[in-house]
Amino acid sequence: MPKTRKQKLKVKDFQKKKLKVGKDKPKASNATDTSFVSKTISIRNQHLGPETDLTKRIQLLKHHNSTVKKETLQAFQKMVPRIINTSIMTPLLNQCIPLICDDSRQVRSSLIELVDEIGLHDAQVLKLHCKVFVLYINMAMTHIMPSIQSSSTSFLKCLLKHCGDEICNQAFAKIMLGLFNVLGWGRSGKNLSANAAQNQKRNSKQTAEHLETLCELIRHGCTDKKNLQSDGNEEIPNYLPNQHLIPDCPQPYEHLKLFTKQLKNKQDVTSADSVVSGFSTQDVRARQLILKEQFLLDLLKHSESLTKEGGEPGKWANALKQLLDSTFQDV
Amino acid sequence: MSSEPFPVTELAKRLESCDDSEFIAILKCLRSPAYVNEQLLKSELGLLVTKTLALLRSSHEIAIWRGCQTAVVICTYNPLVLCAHAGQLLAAIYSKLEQKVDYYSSSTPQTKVLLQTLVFALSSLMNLMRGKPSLSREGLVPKLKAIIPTLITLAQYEPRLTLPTLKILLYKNTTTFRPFANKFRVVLVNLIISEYEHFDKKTKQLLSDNFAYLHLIKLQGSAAEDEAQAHHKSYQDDNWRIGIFSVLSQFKPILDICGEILDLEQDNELQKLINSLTFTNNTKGSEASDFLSGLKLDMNYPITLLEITRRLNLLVDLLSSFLSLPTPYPVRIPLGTCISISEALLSMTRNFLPLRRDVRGDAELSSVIRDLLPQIQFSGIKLLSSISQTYGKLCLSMLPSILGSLELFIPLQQKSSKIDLDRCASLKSEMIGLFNLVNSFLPHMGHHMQEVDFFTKLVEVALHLTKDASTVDLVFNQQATNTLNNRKNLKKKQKKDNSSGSLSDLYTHPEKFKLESSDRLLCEVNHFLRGIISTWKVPSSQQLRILKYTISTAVQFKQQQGFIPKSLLELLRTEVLYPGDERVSILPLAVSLLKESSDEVFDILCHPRLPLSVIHHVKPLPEYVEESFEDEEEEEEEEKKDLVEEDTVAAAVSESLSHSAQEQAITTSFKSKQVVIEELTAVEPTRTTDIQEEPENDIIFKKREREEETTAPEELKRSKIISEATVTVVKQPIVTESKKVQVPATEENGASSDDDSEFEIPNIHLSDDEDDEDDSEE
Repeated sequence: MPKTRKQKLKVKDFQKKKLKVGKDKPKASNATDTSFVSKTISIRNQHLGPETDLTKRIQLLKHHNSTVKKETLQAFQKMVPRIINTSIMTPLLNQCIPLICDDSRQVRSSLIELVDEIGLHDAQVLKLHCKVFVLYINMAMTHIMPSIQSSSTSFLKCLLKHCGDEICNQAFAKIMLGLFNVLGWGRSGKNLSANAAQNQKRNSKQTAEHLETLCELIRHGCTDKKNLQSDGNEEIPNYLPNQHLIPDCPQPYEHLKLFTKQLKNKQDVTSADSVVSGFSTQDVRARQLILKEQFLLDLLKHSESLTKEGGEPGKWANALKQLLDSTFQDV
Repeated sequence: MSSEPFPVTELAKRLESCDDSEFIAILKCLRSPAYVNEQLLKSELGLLVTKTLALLRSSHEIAIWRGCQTAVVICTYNPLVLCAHAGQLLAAIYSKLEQKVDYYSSSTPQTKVLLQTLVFALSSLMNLMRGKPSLSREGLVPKLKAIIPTLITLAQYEPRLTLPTLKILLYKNTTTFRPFANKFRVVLVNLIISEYEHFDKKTKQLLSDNFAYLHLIKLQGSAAEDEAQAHHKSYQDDNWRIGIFSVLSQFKPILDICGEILDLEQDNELQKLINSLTFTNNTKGSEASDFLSGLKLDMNYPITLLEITRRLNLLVDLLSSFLSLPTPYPVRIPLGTCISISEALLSMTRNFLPLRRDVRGDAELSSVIRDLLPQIQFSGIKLLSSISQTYGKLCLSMLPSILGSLELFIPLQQKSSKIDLDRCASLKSEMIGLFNLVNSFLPHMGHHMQEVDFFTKLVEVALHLTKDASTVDLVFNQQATNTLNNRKNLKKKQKKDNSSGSLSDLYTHPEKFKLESSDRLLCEVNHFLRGIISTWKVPSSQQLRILKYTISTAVQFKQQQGFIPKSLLELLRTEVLYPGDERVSILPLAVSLLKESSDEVFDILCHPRLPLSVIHHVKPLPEYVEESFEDEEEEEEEEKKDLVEEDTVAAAVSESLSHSAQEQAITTSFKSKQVVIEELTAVEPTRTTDIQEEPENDIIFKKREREEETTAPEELKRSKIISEATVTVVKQPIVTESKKVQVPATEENGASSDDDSEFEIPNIHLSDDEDDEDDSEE
């Protein structure tokens, strides 16, 4: 029988198709088309929203490039009036304060300006962070790099301007010790030679700044403000705020050290640094006492020698001497 | 039921034979005042007394005991029996006591109890009989001649029992005692010399008190000797003074002995002081105190040095009795001398005086001396304590030197001026005495204190003593010395021995080996700190430590015992009230510590409030008026209210000027409120609600009605008045109908005041028509 149409179609399946010249290979019947088309949207200008998320900027403060840090600090300084009452202040300050010990001078100077700005707007914010400030300023004062050491006093001066009382309450003795270290003055009975290496690198301008800060500290800490206001009134004025009202300072019972474990001092040395910084300096009388017992003689001795040398430091040394004399004339 | 008591005869019959609980009931019955009846005296009470005497004379101990108790009860509660039969009873008891004393043996407890009861009964009866003139003359005094020697004999064996009675006899019946004074003195001296140290504190006190009271008896020999001075008036207290000086003169030899140990020549002032302590003007004094033998001390046996402290304690006790006992006549006390002696005793310290060169330096002697000197100082403190208790404020003039010498008691480290806190801890009980003394002086001292140093040191010591002492510190603080290393090795050997216990606990749980400070010490320290904080502004470092101590101790007490002791609570209060130079007082901390129990002082500080009587003057009107009426009428209401109030107040004031006017003002203000309400009902007749009125107003208005007889009877229309709670609660509008009653009130008030010109009183017609009142607006 001749092949039917069906049979022919069947045979066709198994016949190999001839390839034609100049033309592509024919597609298999079960071939699937895997081609695709992709589309893109191109934006000409970057669309920046309002700067609501400042927390991302705070991360920039940890950048390795000091220029970036400086610019971030300046940007924050401009924004201080807006953000002073928001909750961003705490993380901001927590990140900023370690920059006290930063290597770059520009970063430190812009930090000082930022702190100053914050203090001008609301000093309470600085008061809340006094503890951290004191910690880092102390770190700076004992830093091995002399530039950081010398800029520590400018931070101290700025802080004293805004929250001097709080700083003196918390860490008067500690800061005095630090200042002695910065100025390179040894304390009587202590190892004098340890600070000799620092002596040469100080120039007179820096010494003058340090002395100015020292004067400020003593003025804040040891002068009885009540006496200044009393206009020569001999009686004890009732200027004390009511101590039974709700306190307006943060952590009012911290100085009681109820929850801190105090190590026992076995050696019973009363002029060791650790013991001195542990003295409580809550009120003016205590601070005056500590100054008189521990520091007064050395202060007078060094200020004498500096006055003799003259110049800027001499002027401030003289001012210091006069301040000490006026404060302690009757003590 | 009849009110007659239980018949006495029945009671009397049952006295001997009943058992003990019934005996107690019988005694209770006998106390009843119903038996104080003269009619009963001869018959029934006589029977009772006979029975009691029979009990007392029997030979059974229980019977004697019952007899004594019955005798005491009926004599105490029944004056008739006392007056009639006390002499007999006393004689019976005494004869029994004499019997017992003659054949004294303290073998069984029953004999002891019996003796005790006999002496108790004897002394009770004597006390009862004493004040009454004829009773004591006839019953007591004749028998005393026999009683006293018996008691003195018994005192040799049972001092604790008999000395209280003898003390009272010496004080109250001095002249009767005189013949036996020497005998008693011998007994006392015997007891003091031989056994003073063995007795307990109370008996020692009794011994020295009796010794002092012996000197109340005037010795007859004293006047005869000084014939040249006989024309001088002799004071009553001569003998007492002789006694005091005899004791005082004993102090100097001891201080001289201390001079053998310490180098007293270094301190001229002290030398002068000691040299001034000789008393040569009374020879009898030296005889009187000769009974105290010399001390036998031997430096080769350092333990004998402790005799010094024993002798000093005895002398101080005797002197305290002389200084503090009450006397029937005024006595002259050489107070300055006593204080000088205590200062001299307190100066015996190595803080400023070196040891003498010839004192050997071996361990035994030096350790004994080291312990001896604080004890000598402590006897000075004891003397000062008794002086300050009796003569408190009289010592004020000598207070600076006293405080200066007390400062010498605080041990200092060698060759430095720092306090030796470890030695303070070892002198804990003596420190309690010191704090006690300072606490007695503090209230007298006022606020200008010069002795700041002393108190600063005391605060340091106080705060150190309150810490729990750890007994294992030395185990951990071993430094690398040979001897200690040897001890360590020895310990290790012992460990291997397995015969001693394990020492591992010392290292793993050192906190379990703590000695806690006693409650008494904490109490004294708290008292002292309270006085310091309230008197003086403490330096802030010490203030902080005191605060920390208070808070931590309070928390500890709360956790362990659930409450805070009283002295600590008072210290907390003082700290809150006197915060010193701190910025903030610890009020919140204190309040949270006392959350469960409220404290008045802190309550006032936290919730300041006015005293109660002020609140009643606050007028409740404005708030009421505002809520009920529209704005237009409010001003009028207030004006009217003012007028009415003024009138009522004026009326009230004019009526009476007593202090009850205030109450009247209150009631009139209430009344005026009602007046306003009622008047306003006239204004707005449409509203009909209930009125709430106090019943007083009815009475007041009724009174007014009675006063005014001229007004028409129609006025007495009233609405339904619901008298409920106070007027201040009212918040509803008012009834309309009741209007008539107040009209006369207002008219009367308006007539009585002169304020008509300021306010227009509405014309209110005395008619039943309610509609007329609409035009009465101003």
